[in-house]
Amino acid sequence: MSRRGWHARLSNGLDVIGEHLPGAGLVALRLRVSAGARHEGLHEQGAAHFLEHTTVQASNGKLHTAFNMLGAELHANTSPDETCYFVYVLSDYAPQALTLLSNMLAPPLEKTCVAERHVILQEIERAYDTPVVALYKRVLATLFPDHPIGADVLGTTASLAALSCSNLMDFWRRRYSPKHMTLAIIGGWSPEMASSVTEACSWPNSNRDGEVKDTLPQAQPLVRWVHKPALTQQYLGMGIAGPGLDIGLASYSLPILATVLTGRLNACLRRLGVPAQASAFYVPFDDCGFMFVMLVAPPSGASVGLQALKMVLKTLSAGHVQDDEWSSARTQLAVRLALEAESFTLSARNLIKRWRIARRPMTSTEEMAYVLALQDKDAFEILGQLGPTCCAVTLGSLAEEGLPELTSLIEASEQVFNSRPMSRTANEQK
Amino acid sequence: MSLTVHTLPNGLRVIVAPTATSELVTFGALVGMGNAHTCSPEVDILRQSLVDEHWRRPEAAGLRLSSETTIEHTWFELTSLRDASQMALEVLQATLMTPAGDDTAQRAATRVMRMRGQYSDHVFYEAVDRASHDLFAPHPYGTGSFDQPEQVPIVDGQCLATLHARHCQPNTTVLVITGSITGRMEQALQDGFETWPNGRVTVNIPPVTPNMASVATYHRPGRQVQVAMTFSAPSYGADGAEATQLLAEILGGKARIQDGRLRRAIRFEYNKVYDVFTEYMPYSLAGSFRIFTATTPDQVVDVVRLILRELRRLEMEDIPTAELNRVQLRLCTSLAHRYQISSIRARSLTQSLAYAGRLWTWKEEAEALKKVTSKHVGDLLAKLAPSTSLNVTLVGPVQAGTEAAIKAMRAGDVPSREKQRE
Repeated sequence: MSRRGWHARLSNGLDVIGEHLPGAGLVALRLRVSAGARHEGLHEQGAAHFLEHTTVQASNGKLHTAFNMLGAELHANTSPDETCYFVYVLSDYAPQALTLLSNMLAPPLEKTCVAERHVILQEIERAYDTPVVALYKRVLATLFPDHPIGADVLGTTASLAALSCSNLMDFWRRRYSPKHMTLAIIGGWSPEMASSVTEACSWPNSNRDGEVKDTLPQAQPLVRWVHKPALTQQYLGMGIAGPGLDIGLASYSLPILATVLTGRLNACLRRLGVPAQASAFYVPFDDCGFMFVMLVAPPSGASVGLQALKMVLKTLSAGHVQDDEWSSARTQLAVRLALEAESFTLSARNLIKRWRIARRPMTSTEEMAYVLALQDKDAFEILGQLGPTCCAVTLGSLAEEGLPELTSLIEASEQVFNSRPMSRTANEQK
Repeated sequence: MSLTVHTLPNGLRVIVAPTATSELVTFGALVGMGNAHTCSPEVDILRQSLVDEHWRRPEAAGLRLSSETTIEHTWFELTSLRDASQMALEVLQATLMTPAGDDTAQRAATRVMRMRGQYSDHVFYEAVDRASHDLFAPHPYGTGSFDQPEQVPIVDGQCLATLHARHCQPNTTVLVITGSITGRMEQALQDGFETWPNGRVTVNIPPVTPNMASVATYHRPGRQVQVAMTFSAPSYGADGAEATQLLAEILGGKARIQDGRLRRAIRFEYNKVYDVFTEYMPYSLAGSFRIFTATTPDQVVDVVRLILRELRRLEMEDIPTAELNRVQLRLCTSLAHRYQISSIRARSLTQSLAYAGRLWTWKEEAEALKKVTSKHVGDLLAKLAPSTSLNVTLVGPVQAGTEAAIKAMRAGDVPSREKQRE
């Protein structure tokens, strides 16, 4: 079944991208709104996520019943730079699902705002009790302390208390406009679908003034200890500042590099006999991003774990990426992408991501071919765009005096990134 | 594309499930060794040792690998690009047929204990474990990762070889290959596994009598209390299994159906929780119906009361046909989506062959779900009487008096529809 990509820009500025899978029985729809924590102004922390809640609940649950009648279930999420609404249906119901998705984009109602505030407060508490989520949020906040991208997307108890429905309305007018949206459609839709898109998505442009100025986040080095004596393991997180999706296709080297880092770190931990588990993944936003490295070890092994991390970063930033480790990491990424292409929901997500990277409707087949052609010299190039700013956070029973190596990890890492022989052209150009 | 099953002379069952669309080949192995078959964490250590020994080889580097031990089985999955399928097959052969040596054994044990530590740091996983314990203990189905020895067990290669011989054998294993399969690949799979010696073993799990109507509290620090509610449900493929699946979906399902009854009642009407979901977990001898949610300590009693109210309402009133139809269509759409994904398809096919003795395609599953009527669900509810039989497990900073308040509330339970009729 060959995949065919297409793109159309509607008269209101909405970008619609699609991937047609002839004969597929399902269609997935994903609407991306460029409305995340980074677009929030002062006193608006949590507004993007709050709006996601009010949008989904606007019709007091009737919307969900309407989706369910089509055999569909609407889901949504908010991140530092976007809010996404997504759903999949049997192909026959795709036009109706699209109409529902379109009708959902109404301004927030006072009643829904009051109700959802309580629900979001519960969501905040839940995140606090989940060590890995708490660690990730702390790393993001520590690396970008003076920019809304580092702020907790859920907001805080205080910021939610201060957010009024009119604040939300203001944010909604600024960001929920077709020029800030991308609609992805993937699967086996009927020919009538094209006209349904134009009909359903002809929302007017609000174009309201007073846009919050979006600045490029500046990462800052910091170390933070969070004492949680009840945890049995020590959770160590490191953030290494790096480029965003705006570097284009070169950004595909970043997840490959993360896999190389994970493999190398775990091999080093095994050699040192530390019963720890390491993982690294790259988190890209539009114009910046970071490598998130996580190490989970028993408190007795945390110190040696940090030494391993220091050693591995040193070898990696010196540009020593072997052909075979690059090629196996590259294959792993290709397999992951091919697996994700089997899921309609993930396919729609990846279609939008490819649009943001390549600015054209790139199919998953093209993407895989591109990934498999990446060479280890690409690793060398991309390494040059990582760092030097790093941050480290630890969560667990060890307080500052129990893990002083954390400060030296950051100092050593910055030295390593500063002294490397690579060019940093992309960042300097910015 | 045709779906076939072969049984090799050594008793190994092989499912071949080609798909035209995939660029990939996925091999899966469902081995009938789970935490219920042995003293936990032995099976976990055996699985980890096999993974450590065989998946770190250079030839495995480009594969996507995952493994998991559950109550009744262990799952190994290897996915590769089409061209690398032979390599994946060789790694799978080694994983299943060759136990790990001394060097790997103790390292695997240490690793398993560390992973269990990490698991216990997550309040939700503790709730899952405690709830299974409260429903099934002392039966092995109630074996969890908690209350484990603090010391790492001493394990050597000999010990692992014995465990391997006892549990990992052709007649306890179902293999599956899905994706872009060629005839040559199919033949290589058969040739490769025909040499696996036939060490026939019989795996027995004692009969189970689930616990009922308990309320238990497990204190731990945190901001929220995890509330887990469980009651006994039909075993895999038993009468009522499809109706139970629909019941789970009516209440909210694992996909967190926004239109689910519990979400509407607790989240939308009273805004007491962020998330509430339900799942039906069938095993070979019994099943478990689980409801999970979390809330701040001051709201726990209210949340439990609201869940009980919804369960009672379900027991007393017929489910409207429109609601049932909606849920059936949603489940069938979800099945169609899930079966596109190699990994999910591979797992479902092996489970149906291992537990039900036959292959269920997604269309057959969908047909069976469509046949369930409101009466079937009503009969099921009358039999299970969830509002009176369910166990309540609380994990977190539970306030004093919460458990007593829930027990008092349970004492006033109204009888189910069936009992009222009587």
